[in-house]
Amino acid sequence: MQKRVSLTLREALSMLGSYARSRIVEQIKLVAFIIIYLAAFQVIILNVPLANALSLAGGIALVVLGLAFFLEGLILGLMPVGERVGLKLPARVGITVIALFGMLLGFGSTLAEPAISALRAAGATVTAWDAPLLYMLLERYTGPLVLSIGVGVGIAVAFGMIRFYYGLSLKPFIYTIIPLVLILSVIYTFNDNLSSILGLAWDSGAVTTGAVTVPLVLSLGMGVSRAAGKSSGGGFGVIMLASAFPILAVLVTGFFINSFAPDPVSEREFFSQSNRENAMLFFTSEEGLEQHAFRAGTEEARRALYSDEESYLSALALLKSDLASSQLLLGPMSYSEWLSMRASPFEADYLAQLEWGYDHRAAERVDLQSLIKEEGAGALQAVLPLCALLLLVLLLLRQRLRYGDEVALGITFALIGMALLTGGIRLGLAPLGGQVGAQLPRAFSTEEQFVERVVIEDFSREILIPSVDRDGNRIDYFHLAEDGEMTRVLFQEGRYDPGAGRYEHVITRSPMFRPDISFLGIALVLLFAFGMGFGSTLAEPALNALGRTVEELTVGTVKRTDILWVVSLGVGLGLVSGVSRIMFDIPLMWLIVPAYIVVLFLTWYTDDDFTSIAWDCGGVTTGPVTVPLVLAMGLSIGSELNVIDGFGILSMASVFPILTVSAYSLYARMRQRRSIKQSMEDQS
Amino acid sequence: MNREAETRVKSPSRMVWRTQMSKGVNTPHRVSKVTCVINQHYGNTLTDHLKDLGLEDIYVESGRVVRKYLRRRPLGLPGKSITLQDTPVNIYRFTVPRDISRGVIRSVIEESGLYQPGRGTVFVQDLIEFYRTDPPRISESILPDVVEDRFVPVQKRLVTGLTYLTCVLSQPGSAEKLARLALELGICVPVVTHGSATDIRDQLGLIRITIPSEKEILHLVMPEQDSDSIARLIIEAAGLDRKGSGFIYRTPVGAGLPDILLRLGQQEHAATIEQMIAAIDQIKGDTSWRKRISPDHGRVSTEDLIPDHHCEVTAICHDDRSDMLIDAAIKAGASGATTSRVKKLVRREDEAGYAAQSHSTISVPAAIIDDVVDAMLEMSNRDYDGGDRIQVLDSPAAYVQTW
Repeated sequence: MQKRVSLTLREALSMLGSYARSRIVEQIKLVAFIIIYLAAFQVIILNVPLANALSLAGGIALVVLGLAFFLEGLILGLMPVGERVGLKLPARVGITVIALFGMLLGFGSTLAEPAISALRAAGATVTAWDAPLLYMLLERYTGPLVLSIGVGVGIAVAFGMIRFYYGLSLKPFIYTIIPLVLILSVIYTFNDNLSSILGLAWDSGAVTTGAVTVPLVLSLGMGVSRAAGKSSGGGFGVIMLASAFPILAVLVTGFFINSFAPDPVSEREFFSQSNRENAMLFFTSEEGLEQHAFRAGTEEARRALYSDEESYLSALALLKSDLASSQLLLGPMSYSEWLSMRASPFEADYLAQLEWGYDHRAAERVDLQSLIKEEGAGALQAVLPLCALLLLVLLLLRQRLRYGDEVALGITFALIGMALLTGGIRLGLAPLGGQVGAQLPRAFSTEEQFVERVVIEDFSREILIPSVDRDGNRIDYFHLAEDGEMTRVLFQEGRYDPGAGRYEHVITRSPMFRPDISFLGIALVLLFAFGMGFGSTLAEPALNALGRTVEELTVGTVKRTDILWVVSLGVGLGLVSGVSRIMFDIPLMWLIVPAYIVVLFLTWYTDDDFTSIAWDCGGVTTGPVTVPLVLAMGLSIGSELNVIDGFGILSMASVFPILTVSAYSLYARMRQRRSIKQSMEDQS
Repeated sequence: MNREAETRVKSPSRMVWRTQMSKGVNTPHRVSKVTCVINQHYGNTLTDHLKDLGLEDIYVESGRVVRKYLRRRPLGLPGKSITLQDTPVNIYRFTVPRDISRGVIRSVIEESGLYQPGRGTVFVQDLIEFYRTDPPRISESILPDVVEDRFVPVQKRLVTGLTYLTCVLSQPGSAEKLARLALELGICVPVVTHGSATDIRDQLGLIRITIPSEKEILHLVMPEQDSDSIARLIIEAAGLDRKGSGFIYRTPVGAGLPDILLRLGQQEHAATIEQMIAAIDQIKGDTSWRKRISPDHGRVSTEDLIPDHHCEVTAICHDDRSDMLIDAAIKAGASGATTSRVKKLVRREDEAGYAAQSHSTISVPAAIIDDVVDAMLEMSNRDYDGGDRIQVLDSPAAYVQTW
């Protein structure tokens, strides 16, 4: 019997302390860049103070803790189980069963970690009249869309397992499927409806592989690859396939749904009574149509929806008088978001005169309890079914885990970590990104933007603070108290109604640069995009897991930090091109096709092992940290420029890392060969 | 004379051989283990050659060698900058009958061009092995003629007087530090591999998660005369005298050809220092002429820290069997094992489709070596037809700190 070392409580606590400290410090180092970058950008460059600093700090602390727990959970629990299953399967069952299991795992992972929420967020500005097919896929036929993506990922994992089993190179797969989806995409550009789903298709490829799926699939692949004993990329390559097949799946699904999707029409025509039958093709109920008019439409849409002025105004009034009706009409959008993004000056004016019928500030506050519940449920859904599936397989194979208690602890850590991470992102990182994103359009807009209209009742001239300019002209100010903070406001005579004792305060956003130097603003936005992509990718847990696996398989020849830096550089460059696409309205295919041609060219010269790693890096970059930040920025810029959707940024953030990692591998190989050759020449 | 005293005067592996022969259950084979560390770039050539020789079981592990890389400073600044550069290598291990071992390594050297510094290292160690069959005989007609070294051209002579030092390190990053030390001292080209340990970690309950299971393993092939001094320096540099930091042991090398390309990058002279060392090694036929590293250096004394008479027991088996064999060894008194992942290159028909293999090494005091080997063989025989490979190699010096 093996002896057991007994530790004193003090010794145990000291070991636990240094263990926890090292894990947390490691995550702080990874997260520090993006936090400091976002905060500094907002405070120093955009010159806007951080709002809700305490809540942001709390959220960021949760992100750090969440990442530490989640990564430790992956290392202790999820990855050893995945690898064990991968090792055992080839010894006990044939390739058909392995492929079927891979298909089930891939399909299950798509359902467990639904990418659809990220895709819906990217398509939040999509309208049913401008892009009917895209809207149908995102909102009406979400089920078939998710299923088709799931089938795509399932087939990809099955192909991955077959590849490992027979030791096939990834390159033939790349040179088959990537040109196929590229050609299909180019053909789609010739049809208005079909071309609208290209962004969705390519982004779905980028977001399908989540933070739990990536490590599980990687470790499973590593196991099968080791057991098969053939050189096939050491477990890498499945993520690439799981990114490419969903693109094909979405393109095919879109093609079928296009057969009954209406053509694009004008906004007024879409909501008109005569088009009601067609419009209801997009929604299951009248409420859906109403919500779409409020969330995506302009005043014109709402007027067309309601037959008369009276019902239009009463619907409008519900936004301020009844919380339930407001939520029904606006969905997840808050009243203030709607007011700044969708309301016309007339609607804002009309609503400003109405009294609140409910506590609107409480309604917009994040409820911590419900946040914990939601994120906890999401974490359970993401982690437990996949782990249960793998553990069940181990049970069927009659395999005992040497460190069962460690695996159980690891799965618990992963659950806690996932909940803390996603909660922290919602509470800290996403609002921080959102604050910067909301201010970002100031950098390149050339005129003042309306933000909000506030009507101050019982206003009196007595509160005015007089001052004078250099020419002796009198200027009056007053202080506006809001949420315990004082803001100095310039008093404008025209906005004061002495009879009613009412002052109308209009909040506007002024441009950062003069119109003649707005190119500086564009450069600033692109710089911001680069830094944000770079920083957020450094903190991506799936990339960390991949980096560790690369370091392990190459016995430290390729360091985890090298992979992190090179991939982050790629994501930064990808975001620059993605944001440029939105700002300059460049068709997505103009960027995707050349980028993939360059990548295919580099792949030709890259070693087989590194090819798999490079292409997998493209799939892991868009995870829980990057996606909310990227979307906050993309949507803010997109909404300023009235683009149809925010798609395309994620797919660009996916292709550029493949490019940078391939280039890095070619450089590393060249350097190594050169130094060895040089030394050989010196020796001979 | 008690058992401990008895083991001090005899080779522990020979004792195991006698014990097992007298029991008559398992037949030990006297074989030579060939280890070849080769640059991954030349791996395929060696693989093809070994297959051509008809070798049946070749185990390959991935690793990296660390070398100094010299380059000019940028912008024409005076001097040179020295950094460490990793090169991926494959480590091939296989056993051959002792009488043809030199012929086999000569053929490996010829075929892989290992005379050229920078390509790799090859060496042979004599040990006893328990396996279901003898190692395959290779037709001597396809091997280079084995003649006495004095009749071999100088540049093709094998080097003797070498020893193999293995350091298992628990602290991440320790291997880098020790590799630098080895290069600074000009000992040899260090090879680093990864493994996982079953040792102190397993005796701690769930709090073991605070100790990483991954270990870095540093392999050094060096002149025997310096091995004790170097071991002491390593023990101090890596803090191996602290519990749970790792351990170190050495095993004897019969003959070999070590890679001596310590530095990459531009050289300034007609011959490099490595070329000169290699030339003298080959002329002298051993490494005893090289400078000695002072044995008086440091706080750790040889007598205190390096107890003699250990054995290295290696189990090479299917991945899922290593746990059972290690558990059996630990129950018999071994303190733990270090397991690396290896790939079996040439497989027998009945093992097709399952190449994942484990290479577990256990440093066992000579006093309990019989018990440990007995326990492992019993476990191996219990539900398996001898497909596990168990090797016993003398380890004249080891330093293992146990709790």
